[in-house]
Amino acid sequence: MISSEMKENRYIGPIVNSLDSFFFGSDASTSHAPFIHDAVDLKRYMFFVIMAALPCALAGIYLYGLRVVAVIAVSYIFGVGTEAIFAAVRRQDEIHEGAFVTCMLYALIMPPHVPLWVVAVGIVFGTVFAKEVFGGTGKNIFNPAMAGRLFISLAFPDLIARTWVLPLDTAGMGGFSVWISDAVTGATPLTLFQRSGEISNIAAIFWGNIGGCIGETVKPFIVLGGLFLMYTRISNWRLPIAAIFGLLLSSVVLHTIYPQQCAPVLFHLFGGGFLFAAFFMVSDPVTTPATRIGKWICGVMVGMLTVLIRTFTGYVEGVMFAVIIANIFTPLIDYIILSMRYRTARRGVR
Amino acid sequence: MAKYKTLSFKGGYRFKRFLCLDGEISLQRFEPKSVSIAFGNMAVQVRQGHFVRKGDRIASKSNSDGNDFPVFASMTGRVTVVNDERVEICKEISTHILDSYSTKTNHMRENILYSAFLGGVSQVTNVDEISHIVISAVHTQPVAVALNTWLHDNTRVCVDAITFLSDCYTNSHITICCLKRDLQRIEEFTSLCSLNDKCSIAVVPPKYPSENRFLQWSMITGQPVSAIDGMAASERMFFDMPSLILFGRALCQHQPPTDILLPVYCADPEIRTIMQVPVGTCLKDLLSFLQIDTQGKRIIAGGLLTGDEITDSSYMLTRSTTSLTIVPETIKRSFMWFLRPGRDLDSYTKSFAASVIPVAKKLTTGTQGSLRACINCGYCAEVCPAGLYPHLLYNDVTHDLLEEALEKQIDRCIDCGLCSYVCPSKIPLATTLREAKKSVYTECAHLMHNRDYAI
Repeated sequence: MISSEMKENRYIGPIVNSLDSFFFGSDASTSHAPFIHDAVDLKRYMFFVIMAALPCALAGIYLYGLRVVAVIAVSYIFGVGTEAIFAAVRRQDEIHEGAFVTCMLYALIMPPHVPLWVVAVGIVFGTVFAKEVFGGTGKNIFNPAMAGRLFISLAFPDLIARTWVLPLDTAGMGGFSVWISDAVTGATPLTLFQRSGEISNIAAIFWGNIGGCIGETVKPFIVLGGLFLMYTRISNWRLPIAAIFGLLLSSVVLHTIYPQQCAPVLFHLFGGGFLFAAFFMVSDPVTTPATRIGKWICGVMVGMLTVLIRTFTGYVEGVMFAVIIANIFTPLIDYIILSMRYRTARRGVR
Repeated sequence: MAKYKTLSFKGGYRFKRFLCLDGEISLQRFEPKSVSIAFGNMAVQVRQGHFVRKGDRIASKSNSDGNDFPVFASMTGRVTVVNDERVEICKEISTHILDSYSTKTNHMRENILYSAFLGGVSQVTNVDEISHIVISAVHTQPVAVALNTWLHDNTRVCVDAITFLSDCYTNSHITICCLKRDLQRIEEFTSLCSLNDKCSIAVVPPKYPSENRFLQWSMITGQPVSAIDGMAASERMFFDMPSLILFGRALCQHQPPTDILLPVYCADPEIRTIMQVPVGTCLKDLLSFLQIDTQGKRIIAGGLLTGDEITDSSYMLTRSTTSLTIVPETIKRSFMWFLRPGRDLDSYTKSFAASVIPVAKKLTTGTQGSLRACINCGYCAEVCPAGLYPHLLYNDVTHDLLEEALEKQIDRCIDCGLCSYVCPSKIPLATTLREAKKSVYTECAHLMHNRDYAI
């Protein structure tokens, strides 16, 4: 059905090949030792991340209406489209699977009523400037989903701030029968705290009965997805655990010193997008250190920076900046850890 | 149960529910019509037309001690061809009365000893130099032979061999490495061994590559794993089970060991056996004896993770051929294959049903996916038994930064192949690192002296 000409075509080749291997798999065989291979490949690897994020996406639809599906679709169309263009420019065989995860995670950290063109701008920015200009899959310094989200929240602060809504009255079909939830504008718990020092009900924050991003509000699903990824070893358990540890440590210390400015521990842990970022963004292997100690340092850094930024800056949501800053430090952390590790050996050389 | 000490190492990977030749498999003998024996750079002592008997010396290198690694004829017959590399011996149909074969030559026991090593010590000059003998009774490869299968019928022979070694090498200590789950099944062997006070039993973790001798040595001494250190060492000897058995039998029969024990596994037709064949047997003869059709199949000699593919059917089995695995080559594409439940698929990740359902795993030569860029997932670093970062080394090597790679201790790689196995991006890490090590040895030799290793 698929001719070899189509596969080798410079422009549609990557798309044809991707569809081919997506549906029919690969028949490549080993050419040298080891002659057997682990059965996991990047398709399954990335698919598992999407699967882990799926409960959050369904919860988002339930809470905020079917428009969420449109947000996810726009994110996929523009994200994968950009990736396909770069695959053609780079003459890659296939579109690499990482983009599918990026688009999903990016859609889940969008405010529910965000204009669709903003979604498109953000994902294109994230894919191009956080990933492709550095060399594509595996070479990126920043988490593309987080970079896209950060870009739109800095570029369109008003649009983002206006689009927070409270979830639908959750009964029966919930959001599955409604296109869009009524625009009952409600601030997120973090915004409320920053404005008036009001602490929302922790139970409501935990179960998602608050305003927030599409996939970030229902915490049990996030924890479930994160634990699933850790159990299957798709994500490294050290990073999320370290991030949570860093957040708990710094929020306990800061709350004791500045009880007015810094919210209590559980509010920090469940408020905003921290848990989602910890389980799905911080655990992104490409943009975090390769060394084990480095992973701990990076995770703790994200946790601490989140609390610091939430407490001492004008920005409400600290975790976006925290993840991006930790991404910047990743090569340095790895460099220091590796040179400390191999210091004795090097002394012998010189 | 006998006393033992427990050893451990970081990393490694346990191949669960793969194939294991277990139970009471008796050895199947195969006598080919002709053999072809390689003699390396030694001096040939036979000419075309000579009669040789099984166990006669056909080549040797003389040094000050008289002999070193002699090569023996593995069958009785007439020498038909002698060329630069090989001696071919063909079975005689008529019988000949040969000169009486003296079994009381001075060096007979040493000859037996030297020829029994499989890649052990290369230059043994002094018996007193040997301080450690390590016997590896470990099977952690995906296709392996269980220890009780090796010891079935051979317990006495192995104990004899160990006793001889401890008598012969008076300064040495013998360590038998085995898995904990085997200990109860080989109680006769362990209790006999524990009578020897120079012999101790060490339990190694049931993870691949516990049978690697560099790793075993590092576990015994507590030093960091180093492959380059092991190459130059002359104070230790390594035996695996087949060579110990052959060595023991040779001692009992007072004849040099000229056969090899070859576990053979074939998926279709289902063949699981251990063959005893003379050194130099042609692979083609053996396969036709076993009635294996090699059309569309891949023949792998010496382990699935570290072995070599044999494409030439006139391949001659040598002492270093440790096993034969024959796997079907055809790989079927399947619809949406990344969604398959994977009852019989092995993976480091627990993302397949096989990690919860106890079903035997399938052996296939498929790469199970296509080549991608490294995403820094860190699986290779998690499983590396030497504690290296294979993906960082790969990055250095592919950018021609050999000194960087040496700084990251590429020379400690023990070639176990696990990094390539677990890589979800299907990057050929092991092959690349193996090639790179060779160029590191030549190009960075001046940097390799006086190195301390970080653990």
